Amino acid sequence: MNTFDTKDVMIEVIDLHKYFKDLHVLKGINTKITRSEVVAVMGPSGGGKSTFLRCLNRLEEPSSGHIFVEGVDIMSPYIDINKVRTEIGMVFQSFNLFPHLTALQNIKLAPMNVRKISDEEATDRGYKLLDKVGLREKANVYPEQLSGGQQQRIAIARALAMQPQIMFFDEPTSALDPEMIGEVLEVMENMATEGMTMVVVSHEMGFIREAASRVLFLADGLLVEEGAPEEIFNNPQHNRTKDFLSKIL
Amino acid sequence: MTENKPTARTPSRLQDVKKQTERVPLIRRNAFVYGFLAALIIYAVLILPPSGSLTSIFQMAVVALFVLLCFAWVVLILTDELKPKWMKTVFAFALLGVFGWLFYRYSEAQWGDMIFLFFNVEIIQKAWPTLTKGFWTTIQLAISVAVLSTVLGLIIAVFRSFNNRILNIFIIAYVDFFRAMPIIVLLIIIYYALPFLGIRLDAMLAGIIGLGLNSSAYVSEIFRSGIQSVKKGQIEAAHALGLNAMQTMRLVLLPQALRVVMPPLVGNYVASAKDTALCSSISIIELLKAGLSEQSLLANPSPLIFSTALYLAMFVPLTRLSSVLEVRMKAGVRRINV
Repeated sequence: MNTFDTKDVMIEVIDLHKYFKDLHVLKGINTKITRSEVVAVMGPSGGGKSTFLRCLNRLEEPSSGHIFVEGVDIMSPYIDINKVRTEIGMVFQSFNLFPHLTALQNIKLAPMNVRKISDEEATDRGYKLLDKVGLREKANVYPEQLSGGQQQRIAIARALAMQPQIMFFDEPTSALDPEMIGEVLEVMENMATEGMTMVVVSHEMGFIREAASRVLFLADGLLVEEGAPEEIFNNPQHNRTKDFLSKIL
Repeated sequence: MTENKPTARTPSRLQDVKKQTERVPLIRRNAFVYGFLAALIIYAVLILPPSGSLTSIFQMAVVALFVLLCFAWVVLILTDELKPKWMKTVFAFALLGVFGWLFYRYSEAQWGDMIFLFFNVEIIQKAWPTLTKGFWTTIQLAISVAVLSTVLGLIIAVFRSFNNRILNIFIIAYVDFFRAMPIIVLLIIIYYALPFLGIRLDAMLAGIIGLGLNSSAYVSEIFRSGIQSVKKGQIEAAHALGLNAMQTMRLVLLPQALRVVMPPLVGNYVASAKDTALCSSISIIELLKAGLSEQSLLANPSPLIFSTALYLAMFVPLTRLSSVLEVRMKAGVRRINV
């Protein structure tokens, strides 16, 4: 079973459970994510996709189970979760840019205050990332003046500014107008080809086919099926998966 | 079936209305207005009692009816959408003028001595040193209270936002206690009761502490609602970047909360600055007490009137500022809710 080189396991999830009061949202998830993997998490809404992702950096407190990030048990009460979070960049459905800061300031905030790098270095890094997402000219613009797609690209740049080992995307294109989805997916595809380890909750079939190395299909709190995208899309094993795919394809 | 279809031959249903406009009314609506005005003038000239005190119920009834009729007449004009706007404005002010004139005529006040009694420059000159001293005392009190209440209120609000259940009980008790406590009672207890325990505070310090504690309860609630108004996604984004709780508060929550909080905060500063007048009850010679003591010393209320004018000069601009900030915040709130 364990065919991965242990050194390259970035995240290991063992029997992860999550309850919201009486609601059993995650019913024992087991999986491993290795370096440079792009894992797409799919499934019907309410199936626990976002909760799963948010448990992995403890934005949502898991009820039981173990999560190892780069070999560190993040469920241990002795670890500083903020340290772990600096290694995991996160992009949200609703962007969550800081509205009182310009695009560049949004990017510089965490590196300067958490990584304690100098202002010049942060500015330098900020402009490089803005180039990467193609928004250099928007450096001094406030989020409210940006389109949804631009905001999301800034949000990606902000997460990358911490130079994380892993990137999480929680439905990054769901709140976007159709014509803006492309620009965000393009940035994400570039990251994937550069070898970034990514966990993406998304239903963008094109992106998943193109960039994902593995698909996790989550429904009713269970990991129903996993495998390469072609396998899952062309030859789903479970009825739940077949049913879901028939609706979205 | 086809009858309902409008054709060229269908007569307009507005024919009746057209007929109405062709008819000339016997009495136009303007005639009512002018007739009423004439009646009011005749009433005033012939029936209203002469100036002086109203001795009998009959006289009072006559004046009351006159007031009522004036009021009715102006309402008649204001509710008529065909009257021009300037006319409505003029008549509204005319009504105020008539009421003022009635008060002047029947209140029996010594209007002739008003300048001597209320605006006596000579008296104010004599009282000037005390009044300016009182004025500065009031300003010192107001600023000290603002600083103390902001510091205390901010600390309380930040602690409250950590949502520790036990801490919250103490904070809620604190806030409720000082919001329920009448300020003047609090001041008197601090200044007159605590010395029995051996806690002797200078009057000025007692005033600052009393007003500051009271105001801090309100300020903490203002800050708390400001912090709560920041969307949850902001906290998540900050945490996901590895910012700890203090950094999240300092770098993400407070800067956004401050914008929301400014108008009610300025409003609260004005309120607690006005409450400094209560300090006159614990022997602080601030603006009100200065005016009052000079009034009894010089047997003329001019110093008190001058104090009032100073209060207004201080607070009208500040209340204006509060309103301006509110308008600005409403314009800027879009940015906060991105």
